[in-house]
Amino acid sequence: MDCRSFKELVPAFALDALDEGERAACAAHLAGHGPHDGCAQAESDARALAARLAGALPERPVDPRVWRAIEDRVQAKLAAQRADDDHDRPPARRRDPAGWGVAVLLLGLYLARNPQRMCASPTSPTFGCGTLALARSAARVI
Amino acid sequence: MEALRVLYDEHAGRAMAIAMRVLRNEPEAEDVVQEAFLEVWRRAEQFDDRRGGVAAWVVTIARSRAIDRLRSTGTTSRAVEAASGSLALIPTPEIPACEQVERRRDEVRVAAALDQLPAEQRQAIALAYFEGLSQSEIASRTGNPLGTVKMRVKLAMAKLAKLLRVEEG
Repeated sequence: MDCRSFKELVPAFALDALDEGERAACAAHLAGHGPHDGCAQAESDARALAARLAGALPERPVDPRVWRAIEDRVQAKLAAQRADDDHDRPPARRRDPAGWGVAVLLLGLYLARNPQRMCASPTSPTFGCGTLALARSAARVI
Repeated sequence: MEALRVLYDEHAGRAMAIAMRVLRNEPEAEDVVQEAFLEVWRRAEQFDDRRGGVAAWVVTIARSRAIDRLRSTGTTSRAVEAASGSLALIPTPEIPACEQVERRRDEVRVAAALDQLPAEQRQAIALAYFEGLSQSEIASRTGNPLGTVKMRVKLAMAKLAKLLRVEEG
């Protein structure tokens, strides 16, 4: 299909009124690398025009239970996603106490091998920060 | 969730209108509105503003889901029976006296543009857009040659584009 043929069909394509063969040919043409002669714009314009046809219909009130049903389903999906995330997340990312325990052990090993990373004094204000940062990086490793 | 609510408040009435027009059944149309907004929520990242704006996107999804349902439940004949023999397929909305004037103005504008089409072109557009029929199905329904139907659809869309551009320009 060339661009000229596509543009002949694009009004019916936008209305979803083509038979399957023509529809598939239009979709393939549009997805092709081209070069195109404004085909994407022609399709976009035709679809926008088609959508405007609905504007000829007066809006209709929608029963409030429709929104409640949408809300329930979105909340359920979000809850399921959260559960999946928790399940897939590595233990330390879940702030698993066991994971933190391992992090502290790793930290001890790290500091034993890199004494220069120790602060001059445990009371130094940087001590807590450094420890926390190392603990965090260790936790990320786990 | 709040963003979805804003979209819903803004566009659910239009989605319901197109779903009702296609399905002519309120509970089914409500299901379609629900499905459409869940799809909007799922596909929000795919929204492309260059393709006609949010309203066009929501309406397109609602219409597609309504037509899918119409086809899957084999109720096409119901819509076609209701449509055949009548050219008054598109109601002319009353001009409102109060709120939502701009939106209603658009209803009037689009309905007026449709009204300016020759009757057979208007019928072809209505059967395609509001009843979800393919050009072959329209030809078979109306007893017109397929080539004639194709030409009517093409001319009608070109004229609508011109009329609405002139109205807005």
